[in-house]
Amino acid sequence: MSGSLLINFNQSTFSDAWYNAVLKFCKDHNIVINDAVNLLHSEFELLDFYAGPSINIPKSWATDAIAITKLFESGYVGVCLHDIPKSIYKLPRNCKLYCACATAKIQLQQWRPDYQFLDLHIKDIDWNTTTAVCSINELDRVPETLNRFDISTEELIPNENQGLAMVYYKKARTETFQAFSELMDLQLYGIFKHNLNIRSVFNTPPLLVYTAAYVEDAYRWMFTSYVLFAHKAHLPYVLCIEKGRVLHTVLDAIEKIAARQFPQTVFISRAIHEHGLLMQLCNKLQISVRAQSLSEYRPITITQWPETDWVFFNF
Amino acid sequence: MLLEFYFNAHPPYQKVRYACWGAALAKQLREMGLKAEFIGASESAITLAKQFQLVLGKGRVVIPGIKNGPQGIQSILKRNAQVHVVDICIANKTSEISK
Repeated sequence: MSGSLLINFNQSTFSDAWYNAVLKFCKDHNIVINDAVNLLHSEFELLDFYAGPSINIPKSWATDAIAITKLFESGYVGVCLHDIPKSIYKLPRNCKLYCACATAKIQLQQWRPDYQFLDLHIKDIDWNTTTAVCSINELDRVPETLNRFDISTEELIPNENQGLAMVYYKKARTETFQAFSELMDLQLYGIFKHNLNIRSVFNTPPLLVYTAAYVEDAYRWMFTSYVLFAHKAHLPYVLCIEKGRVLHTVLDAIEKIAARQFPQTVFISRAIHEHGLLMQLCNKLQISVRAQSLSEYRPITITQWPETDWVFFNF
Repeated sequence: MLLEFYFNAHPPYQKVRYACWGAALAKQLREMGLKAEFIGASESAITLAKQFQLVLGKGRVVIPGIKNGPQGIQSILKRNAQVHVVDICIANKTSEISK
């Protein structure tokens, strides 16, 4: 096997172990790696002009969704983060497929019952015999033609003993994360360097810390799923809300959690109105709320304003 | 509060158009007697940036920012437009989570 591979190192959400494994694989198979630092953000745009295999991990779309397909037909490795790639359905018959996501596995099982499905334990992957690996995927983004099984993404619960550490946090908020870990008496996994970075860690006790600076749809169901998983495993969880404008997504998630009659505690990392919508809903649902602002803003003296036609507020 | 920081800094713009992300910010601007001519509704920074670029064209834009805050949409817009990020405040950690 040989070929070339495009890797966007700059926007990695892979753990070091992931990257090392992929790089080793490439090296062992004479696959040339092309560094795509500073290319376009959108993976769609990236793939538009780069027809070859790629590893592309745009920060803005960062999820822990990981799928690696070893495409024997064309002889290259492709890594895709945000979808179950179409190619995963076209793997050779009876291929060995590691899968960390119960729902994705069900989908794939229905689509390709001939695949051999194995639980994904990243450290145990035998790269010599593995055909493909997939993990949590944004099932909502599965191509329409493939998404025919009508499984709610909210039902997505990681397999047993496949703990996930998911962190979605702002730069310079390591202190927050540390504080959470101390509060919850949880072990930290991974080193979090980048803004909006997410790591998933397998073969570890589940940990759920969720700090939402910008909650996108992709994260809403992941959050819900992880909370359900945490409850199922009798684990504590933290919900940290940073931005008011995503409130509705959070409320939606809380409502769904509450509907399942789990005991809940929600930590909100900002001051909230005692009689505000969020508090009202939480009270109604008998959710215990802890709200505490963890940061303050201090104005900066601005010496020079550039000329402009527009001013865009996004905080 | 951050909008207040911006206007308290007395930006020298007489004829400038306002854009914002989310209806809440638009409402705050409205309460200040200002109209947002672009109100981004998408929760995806990429989608929002694309939508705004259509409106922006080749125009210039200033994005008031938080010095150590997220750079999501700023970093995307920078690739295709004349974007200036002006940090108007800095975020500081205030306290540990109380047990």
